[in-house]
Order: sequence, then C-alpha cells, then structure tokens
Amino acid sequence: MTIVLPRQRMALGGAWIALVVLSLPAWGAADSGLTASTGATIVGRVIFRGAVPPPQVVEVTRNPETCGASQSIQPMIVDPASGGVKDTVVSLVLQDRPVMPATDQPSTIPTVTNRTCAFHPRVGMAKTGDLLETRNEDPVMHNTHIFADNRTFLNVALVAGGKPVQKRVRSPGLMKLTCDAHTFMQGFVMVIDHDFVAITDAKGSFSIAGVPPGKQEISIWHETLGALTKQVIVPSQGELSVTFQYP
Amino acid sequence: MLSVTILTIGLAATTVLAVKPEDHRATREHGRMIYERSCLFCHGAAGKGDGPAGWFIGRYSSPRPRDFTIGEYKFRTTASGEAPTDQDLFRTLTRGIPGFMPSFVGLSAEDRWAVIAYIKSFSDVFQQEAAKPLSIGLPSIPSSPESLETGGRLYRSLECFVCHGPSGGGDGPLAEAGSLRDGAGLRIAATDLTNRASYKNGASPRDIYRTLITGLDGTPMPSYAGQFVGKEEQLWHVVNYILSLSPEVRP
Repeated sequence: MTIVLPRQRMALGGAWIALVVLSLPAWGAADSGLTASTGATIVGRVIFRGAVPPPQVVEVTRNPETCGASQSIQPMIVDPASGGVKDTVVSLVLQDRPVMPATDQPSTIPTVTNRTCAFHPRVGMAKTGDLLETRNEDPVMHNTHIFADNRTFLNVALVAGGKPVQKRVRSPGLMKLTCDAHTFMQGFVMVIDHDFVAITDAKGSFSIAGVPPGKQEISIWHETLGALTKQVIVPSQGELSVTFQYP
Repeated sequence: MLSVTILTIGLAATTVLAVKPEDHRATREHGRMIYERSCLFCHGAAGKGDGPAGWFIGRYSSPRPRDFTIGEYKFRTTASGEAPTDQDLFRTLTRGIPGFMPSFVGLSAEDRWAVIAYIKSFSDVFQQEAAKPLSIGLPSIPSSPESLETGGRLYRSLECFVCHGPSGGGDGPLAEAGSLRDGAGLRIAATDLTNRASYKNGASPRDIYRTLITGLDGTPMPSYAGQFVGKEEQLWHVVNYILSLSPEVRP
C-alpha cells in the first residue's frame, strides 16, 4: 500500500503547481509590463560586407529523380545591393523575467516542410509552447531528425503522402534538423521563450514591436556567420533603429 | 486452492513494483554503490559513457556505452525524443542488450530500482513531466500469407529496405554507403533483421511493434507512429513480415 502514497503526493503537488501557473501570466504582465500593445518598436537591419562564399554543391546519392543530380546549398543569402542578410534570428535577451510556463501560452504552428529534399524554411523560429509541425511534400520518404541540445527532440519517418507530425516545443534553444535518408539536408529552428523575436527578410530587415523601455540586450544568430549581441536603451515610445554588421 | 492461486498471481504481479524503493537520497546512494561496482566500467564514474572499458572497445567503434548525462535513450515505450519510463529502464537493465550490455537480472529487483534512481540523477530530463507510454494497438494480427504480403508491401513503401536491405540483411543502400550515424556522429550498422538474436530492443512481436512506433533515439531509426494514426493494426503486418525474414529456430 505504501507505494501509492508518493503518487498521491504528486497529484497534490501537481494541483499546487497548476494554481501557481494559472496566476503567473497576470503577475508577469503586471510586474514587467511585457505586453505587445505598449512600448517601443525596434527596427533594424543585419548586413554583411564582404565576399559571399560560393554555394556548396553536394552530389545527391539518393532519389535523384526528386532531389536532383546535385544540390546547391547556400546558407548565406545576402542582398547584393544593400548587403542585407536573410534568415538571421533576432531576439531580445530578457533578464529578471518570470519564465512563462510552456503549456500556458497560446499556440501557433510553425511548420517545416520537406520539399525537393530541402527544409523550407531552412531557418525558422518557434516559441516555447508552440506545436512544431514537420511535413513532407516529396514523393519519397524523409526521415526528419531534430536535435535539441545534442539530444533527439524528434526522429520521425515521413513517408510519401503521409501525415504531418507535430510536437510541442518546451525548452528554448537552437534545434538542428537533419534527414537520415538524405544526409545533405540541414535546417534550424530557433526556439525562444518570449515574444520579442524576429527573423530577417530578404533585405536583412527586422522589426520587433512592444519592447519594454530601458536597457535591453539584442542577440542575433546566423547559421554560418554566428552570433552577435548589442546593448541598447529602448525609449518608452516610438522607434529605435539598430544595425548589426557581420563579421 | 483457488484463493492460493489468486494470491500467488497477485503477488507475482506486484513483486516488481513492491520492491521499488522511493526515489530519495538514500536510494540513490544505495544505487551509486551498485553503479560503481556494476556499471562504472563501461558508463564511467560521471555517467558520461566514458568508463575504462572504452579503452578496449575502440575509440571510434559504436554503439558506445550510453552517456547518461545527455538523457537520450533508445529503448522506450514513450514517443520519440521523450525520456523513458522507469519501467523501460528496468526492462533494459533486466534483459540487457544482445551483443552489447549484459543482463543484470543477477541483481535483486530492489538493487536494480536503486541503480535506476541513481542513473536518472545524471540528467535533468527526468525532472520534467514524465512522458506516458504509447499504447500498443491490440489485438495483434497473427501471421498469414495475406498478412505477410501486406507487410512486405509496407516494408517497401515505408522504405525499411533503405537501411535494413531488401531481404533484411542490414545491407540497404544507406547502410552500404556508410552514411548511418549515431548521435555522436559515429558510424553505426542497421540491424540485421534476418538474425532475431541481434534485435537490441527485443524480438517478440510486441517488442518489434514498440520499436516501430517509438523509434530508437540517437540512431537513424525513426518513429513510424505518426504515419499509422487511425490504422495502427497495419503495423502488425510489418511486424509479421520482419519476423518472417529470420528463421524461427536457428541451426
């Protein structure tokens, strides 16, 4: 009989945690004013000055009828006119903030699609609590294998014409996507545990709205160019313009 | 007589759980003593899979002894990427892994539970909410010529042959090309399905079904659960087909 006891205690503990969790969002919002409707907007650009290395051309050894005879992989998409870098993840580094419980957030479904033996998008973002979806539009099987922190987050077979697979992301950090059937495939999903995140467009531009005023740290990450950070003072209203330059 | 039988069955069913000690400090300390006697040689003092045995296993040979600090486990009843249940760890410890890890059935059940409590303390994945085991689609479908035909068709359309080979010999094109890697980036082999004794996650129909739906984390073997939602029974045809690739009794 004694073995039932810990379970009962756990159930009771669970109820207490649920209570605390329910009261957290209101407390967090009131305390730090972290809502998207107020605050300033950070607009900016990420640029790269220098010679863009040529794409890596890899020979396709499997399913050439779908994947092509070779694949040209170019992680550095730089606008020739302005030097803007696409697919850079820009996020605030928040300190002293109650971590929002993952299950208590409204959920969106960021999706990674396997198409012509590549991940679309190659670099994506998700928020903790989101359901991350992976689907296959190719007429061949893909084996989407997602690693988070050196550990398998999800390893699923996606057969031709098969169902998409969803899984909720719980912890922030960089996730790496591979395909065990097509080893040249690679992708990334950056998971952030708040709303202050954006990804640069083809011109290297980004915009993050509703940023609370005061001292903030902005971090950017690009697949091959790496990470940069910058300290800024955010005004209480209006726009703050920030430019990051690699290298 | 009847009551004695019922009592015996009841006792047998609860014995494994009954001796499971609570996961507190004294249990983990007891587990550590057993670990350092029985597991350390392969898995290392800090659980990083870097015990002295690695010296003669070969630096680049795989699979390696499990690195418990990563918290990634192949043999689970839980979904891909989830931590195993305590029962999963108990099963692996009790059965061993054919060709790689010995069975520790020689330890008392209480000792095995204690060592599991200690192993879990190496990784924080066990601090998160425990994952629920996936359910096995029952009843199973017995093997028949029709079932084997469906299973063979699925074996091809699910592209099992890409790793395991057209006849199951572990010699599919990806295996032959040497592109199968484990989580540490080391080359690993696809299981030879014609040799049941080498099935690391067990060779009973339920074991094979479980491997198909959970996948083996840290290897290229994916979970097929998402592709069979609403038609789970079809997986039994794949199970039957896989079992048909190896003779029942090996000479």
